[in-house]
Amino acid sequence: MLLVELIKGFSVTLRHMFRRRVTVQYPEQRRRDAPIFRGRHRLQRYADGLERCVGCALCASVCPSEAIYLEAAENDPTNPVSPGERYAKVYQIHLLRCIYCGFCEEACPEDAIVMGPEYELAADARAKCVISKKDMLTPREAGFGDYETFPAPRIG
Amino acid sequence: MRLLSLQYAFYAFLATLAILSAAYVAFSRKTVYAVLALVVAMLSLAGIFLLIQSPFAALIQVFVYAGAILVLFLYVIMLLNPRQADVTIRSVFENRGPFLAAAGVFVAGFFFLTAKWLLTVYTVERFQFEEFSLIEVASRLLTDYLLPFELTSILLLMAIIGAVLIAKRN
Amino acid sequence: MNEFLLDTLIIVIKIGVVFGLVIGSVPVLVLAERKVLGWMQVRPGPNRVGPWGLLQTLVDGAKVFFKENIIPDGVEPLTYRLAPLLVILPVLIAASVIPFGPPVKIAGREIPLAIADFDLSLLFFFAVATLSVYGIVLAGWSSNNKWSLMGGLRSSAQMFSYEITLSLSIVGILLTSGTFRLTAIVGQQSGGFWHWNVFLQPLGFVLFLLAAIAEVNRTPFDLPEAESELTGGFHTEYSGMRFVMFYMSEYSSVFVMSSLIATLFFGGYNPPFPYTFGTSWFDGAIGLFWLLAKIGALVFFFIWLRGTLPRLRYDELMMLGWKILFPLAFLNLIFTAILVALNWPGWLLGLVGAGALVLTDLVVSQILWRRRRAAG
Repeated sequence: MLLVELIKGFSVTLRHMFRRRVTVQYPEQRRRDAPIFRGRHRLQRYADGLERCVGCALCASVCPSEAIYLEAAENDPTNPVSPGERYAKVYQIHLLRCIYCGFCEEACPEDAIVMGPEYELAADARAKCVISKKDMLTPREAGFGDYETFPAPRIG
Repeated sequence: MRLLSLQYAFYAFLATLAILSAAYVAFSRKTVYAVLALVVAMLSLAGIFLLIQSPFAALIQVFVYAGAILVLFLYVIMLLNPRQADVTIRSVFENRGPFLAAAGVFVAGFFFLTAKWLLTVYTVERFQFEEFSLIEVASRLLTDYLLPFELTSILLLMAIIGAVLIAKRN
Repeated sequence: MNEFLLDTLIIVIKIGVVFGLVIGSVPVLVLAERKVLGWMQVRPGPNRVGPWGLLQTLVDGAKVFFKENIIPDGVEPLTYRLAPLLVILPVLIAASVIPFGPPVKIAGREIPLAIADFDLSLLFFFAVATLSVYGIVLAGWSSNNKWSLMGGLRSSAQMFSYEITLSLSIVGILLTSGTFRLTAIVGQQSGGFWHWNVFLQPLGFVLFLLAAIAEVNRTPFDLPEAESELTGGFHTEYSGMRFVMFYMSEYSSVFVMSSLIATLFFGGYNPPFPYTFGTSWFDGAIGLFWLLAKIGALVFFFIWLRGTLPRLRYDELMMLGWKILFPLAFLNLIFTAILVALNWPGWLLGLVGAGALVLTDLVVSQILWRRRRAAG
């Protein structure tokens, strides 16, 4: 009967009124992200403070949206920046072009670039969306080998 | 109804509005505006009904004609392309001056004539809705005026059947 | 004080109270709708501005007040500007006949608590409420947008179809109460909830409720603004304060329609238990309280409906209006007329109405079921 069906339907919505709300009150409350979440990039260091990146530019060539710009330079043997022959003098990522696919992370032979957990990337100017080494490098004080806490995502 | 009473002022206003909007209906080139003017004309007629103490007729006027004119409105919109709804007939009233003068004389004359008539027929001092009785209207309609009432319903029935026939033919 | 001035003052105060209630109800209704719909969808609803989000609509109003009033190219400028006014004015005027309390005696004068209390107040309500469809059609037509135009046309077709049911379904009440005067209809329903018209006219009540929902363009029947098909319907091209006027008219017409339903079927300002109204201002306040409580319950029902039922398809809407509701309203009118003429007691009338309701429910669901089975 139509009337009975109507009453059933109405009672469903009425019951839902008294359920516990599922909304996450975002800025105050945060959801736990999945460990393989691909957020903004980070550049890792070795435990001795040297940068992992050796400026091979594999990340830049694999990037499907060509969001990575990289200029490599020779290391000064007395005061090396990275353990390899060369290091990245300029490393920029255009976050508005990046599609967060994680290919850079996969291509990197030194595990230097990883995708971090940060996702609050809004900015009020385009220029602010181009991030460089100083934004991405793990700070020396933060402990160096902490990329282990961000295991590389498995893709595919 | 004295010539300078508030009621007369109301009447003058409503009658002017009715005539002017009716004239607009006849002479306007924008069909949608013409239909709207028809609504205004009907509403001002309803106001005149109120003035001569028949609120029932006034409300029925609004109720029925508002709906009826809306149908007309829909026809205008649906049958004419809304962008080209302005009918382009060259009007005889292209020359506005003499026409407006004639209309003014006509309106003024109408007032004086009808005011005199109202003066003789109705001697109303104030609005007296309280004394109006719906039961009176109903019983009059079904006793004294039964024949016209039934004839009207037959007329409407014929109109309905005709409409159905025309619609069925296609 | 001068008699005439005093009369005028009283009327002005009453107009202020009623219009204040109707207009003031809009932000409350908007907030209530967002909150209740939110709860029904297992989310909290607006809760950022003010305690529990109570100030949300105020802030929204302030925002919209400062928005630009855009008039798009190619609109009919006159009717485009006129339409929002034509939508909201009839609602406010129609509200003037709703009695919001028992007659009150202040300073030796008996004052009926309705702006206009005359013999044809119910007819007046319908006559004026009909006019608001002009605003919608005009808005749709003058916007120079085909979706707006379609919204306007739909709205007018819907109004025609359901207005017949709306008017016919109350004729039953007119027959049992014998008057068009709303204060008298309310007066007859005093003395406890079992005197309410809803028990006298159950079928009439259901029909009126459905038609009323269609008249105020609320959810199962909100085709004029079906956003999934017509973007925004008739108000697509409106912005700023003009848009707000459409919004206000929608919610205030929900409020006014609820107050009419409460007045006609749920005893208006009468409390649900036997209570004899005196003529003090306090009794007037009690009457207003009960009327508002009933309106609140009805508004909740309207929101609940929106949270529950999806929108009808256009042909379903027309079928429901013409093939089901209209004949039923006619049936209701005929058997009420017969029973009133035979002078049968009210409870029998109610029983017959309820029986007819259940019967039609059975028949209609059978037909629908068969149709669905035939369609495969």
